[in-house]
Amino acid sequence: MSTAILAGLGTGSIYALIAIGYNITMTTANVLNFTFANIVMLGGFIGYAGVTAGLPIGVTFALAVLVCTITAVLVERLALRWLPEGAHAELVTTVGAASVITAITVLIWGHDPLRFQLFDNATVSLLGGRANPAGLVLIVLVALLAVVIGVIMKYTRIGLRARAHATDREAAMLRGVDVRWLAIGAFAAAGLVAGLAGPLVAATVNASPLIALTLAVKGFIAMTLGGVGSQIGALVGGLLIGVAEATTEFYAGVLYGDFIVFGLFIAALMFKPSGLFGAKIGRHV
Amino acid sequence: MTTDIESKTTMTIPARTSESLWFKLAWIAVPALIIALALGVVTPYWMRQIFLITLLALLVSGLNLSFGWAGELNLGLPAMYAAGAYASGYLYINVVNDTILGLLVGAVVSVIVGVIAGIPGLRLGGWALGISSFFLVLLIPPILQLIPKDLLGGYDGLIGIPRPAVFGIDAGREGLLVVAVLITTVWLLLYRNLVLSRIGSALLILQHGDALAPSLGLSPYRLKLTVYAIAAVPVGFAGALFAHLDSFVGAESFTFVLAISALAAAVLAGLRSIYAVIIGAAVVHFMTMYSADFVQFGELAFGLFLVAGGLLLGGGVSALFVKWRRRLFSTTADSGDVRVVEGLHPIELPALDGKPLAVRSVTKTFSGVTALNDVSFTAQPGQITALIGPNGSGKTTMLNMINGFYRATAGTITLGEGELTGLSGSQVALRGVARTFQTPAIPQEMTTLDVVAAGRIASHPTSAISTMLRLPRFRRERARDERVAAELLAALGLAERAHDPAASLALGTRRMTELARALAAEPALILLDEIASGLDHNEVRELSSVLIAAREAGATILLVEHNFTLVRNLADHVVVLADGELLLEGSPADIEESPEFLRRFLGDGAGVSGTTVDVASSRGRAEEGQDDE
Repeated sequence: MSTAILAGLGTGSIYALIAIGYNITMTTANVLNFTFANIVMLGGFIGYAGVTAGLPIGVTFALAVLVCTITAVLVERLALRWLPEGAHAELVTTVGAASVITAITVLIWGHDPLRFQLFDNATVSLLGGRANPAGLVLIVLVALLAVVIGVIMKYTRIGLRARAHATDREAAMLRGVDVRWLAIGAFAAAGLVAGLAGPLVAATVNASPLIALTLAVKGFIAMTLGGVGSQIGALVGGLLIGVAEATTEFYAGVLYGDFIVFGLFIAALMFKPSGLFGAKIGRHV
Repeated sequence: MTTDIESKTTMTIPARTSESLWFKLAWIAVPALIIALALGVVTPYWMRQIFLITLLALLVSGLNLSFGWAGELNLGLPAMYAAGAYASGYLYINVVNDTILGLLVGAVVSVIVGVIAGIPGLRLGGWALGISSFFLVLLIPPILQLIPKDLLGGYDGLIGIPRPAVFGIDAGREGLLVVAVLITTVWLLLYRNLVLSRIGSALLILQHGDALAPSLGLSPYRLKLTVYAIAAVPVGFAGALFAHLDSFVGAESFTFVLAISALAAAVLAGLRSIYAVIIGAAVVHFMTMYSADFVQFGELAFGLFLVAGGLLLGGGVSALFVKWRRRLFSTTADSGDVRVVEGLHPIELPALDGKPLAVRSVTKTFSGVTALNDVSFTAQPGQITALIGPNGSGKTTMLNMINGFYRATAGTITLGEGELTGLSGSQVALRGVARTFQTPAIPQEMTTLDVVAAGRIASHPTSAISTMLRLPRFRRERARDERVAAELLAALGLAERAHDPAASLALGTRRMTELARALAAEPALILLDEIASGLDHNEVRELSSVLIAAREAGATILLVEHNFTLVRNLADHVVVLADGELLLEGSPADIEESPEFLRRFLGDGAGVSGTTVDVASSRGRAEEGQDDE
């Protein structure tokens, strides 16, 4: 049981991470960066490459951060900057960009999941269960990110500018907010987070291009459950579906995990679309 | 509403580009040609390619209908396709081997899955829908494993599907291809009929933002769900045909890659294209076939394609074709924009059944801020009532409350005998309330005639079935829509603009078009939000003559206006708001002489001499800062 809960917190923290990444660009540039999970997985592959090449762990992480940040900024520049008005075009371009990133990882590292260890111990005992050390570091990192980013967005000038931009782009521009750099900055920040967390994610669930899509979807569900824009909500939402999924799989069987996640998502969409911590969505007339 | 006007207006509207004989013949000739080619000339290899292209074209047309027209991306396409394939495959093996019945079953099951995927996410739209529909694709493998193996074959797939047969006669590969081409033709015809209609207009209106559709009485959710369900039909057809292709259905055919290749084909064809889906499907199919290492580079290619295509989104191949055709066959030269009419020409409009509007003690607070406080007034039929006041006085809030966009915190609003308080925007519109917007709300890609006719969609509904099959009821309604719209355009002097794209007209013409749309709804109450702002002298005079005609016709008109000259010339009754409260009420002359009005609007002693108001300066002041409401 506690192994199931620990496993749930582990995968849940990955979902929370993806939700946090989505929120970063949602709250600053009002764009859902659907490629975020793919960029995290790209970071995971860099982690794999670094470890197998025998690089020091610090250098490996620095490389992952660099590659992910550049990729995220490229996504903003190439796939989102020049969108036509309306028409949900961002759905098409970001899905396209996500495919491109994953296709590139497949070309370099192949389809098969790659297993590697970031830390010396394969597992550690905790609270009567067993856990992967990279997973534990990841849980701490994600919780820290949720708090720190939440505080930055709420209490600093840059956070205020970012929220102003997400609420009303034109008004923010007229007030002297440099929206171009804000959007680039948001994607760069999301890339940085992806680079930091990517190797940890890949070390817990293996580096695999196919996982990115599932993570992208479940991360979105975590964000919806927690409430769009709330980083604490992202954390709670992610852990919630992670634990719900893991305990369901533990008691009912592996096949049922996805159903419980889907059920939670549908319930949230139908009964609480603003999420647990989200602001109520106003309507514009 | 038409009898008394018909004889008086001269019809100068050119006929719509109608369905010529050639066009009708093409519907028979093209599929016949494809079938003849497929059966008589080409090799089995090419027959298979043509078959696969028709399948992909069916999928793409479903995607176009839900994404291009209803504006919502359905990434659950592979799940609907799988549902259609498995359901019909089961039917062929265990119940009856009939391809026609299989198409029906496939369509029904696909619609059920599509609606299940759509209901939760459709209200929020965007990514919420994309993800909730896509989740079904992730659920395909576990669902297949949970269903007993002897039913659908589990993860190994459904094996041993018999050869295609129609009415008990073995059809073979050739027969299957004929069925595929015919069903694709029939579907494309139905799809075309659906979108080239008032339902297509309604869908374009839906994509114009949150305010316009409800103000025309359209309920976005219901309309989107209907179209979303219809969009699952061709996907189910494709599934039923696919089940016969290799006598085998397996989970590996229904993945994310299928969704993005269909999306790529849709973007290539143009998201609102009809016939070009075949071109999009063919190109994407051959890309998949002929790029040597497609397994490796396919996702990369499609991904790049989606990024590039998404950035140029909208037209695709179909837009190129339209542009080319316009260049070759265009005959009408552009004859400048708005006509300037000298003098007020009398306009006659058909009678309107105006009802009195009564606002009683209405209060509205926005999280603590009181925008309106205990405001009461009435507006009578056959009169123009003007609602004036400085910026921030609550005029637009009042309009939005009558309109059903906001809910009153306290008080009641009634129209005739019926209460409007608490109704939604579309319900209010259906009670006979029409409105115009400060910035004219004219959707893209619609002609002026269609925009005006759109005023009648909600009050004179036709079903999707009747529209797709072009039943007499649909034809009758369309004829009436067009007649009413043409008459209004003629009456308002816009006849020669009838077939121009309305969104690109000059501001004054768009205002006039909006007014015509409001009148087309045969409203009991017309709400006008700063209809004269930004117009020049002549345009204001033209507009005035239309408003006078609407008053003569019997409508109740409520005018929110900054321009006091216009109010003085037009209004029978003036209601003055200040700081969310009712300041004054009376005839324009009374208002003009009220010291309280002068003080509030012009400041103490500013620009006032005796009893005359310097209207120009009051207008100038009032137009500063338009955005605070």
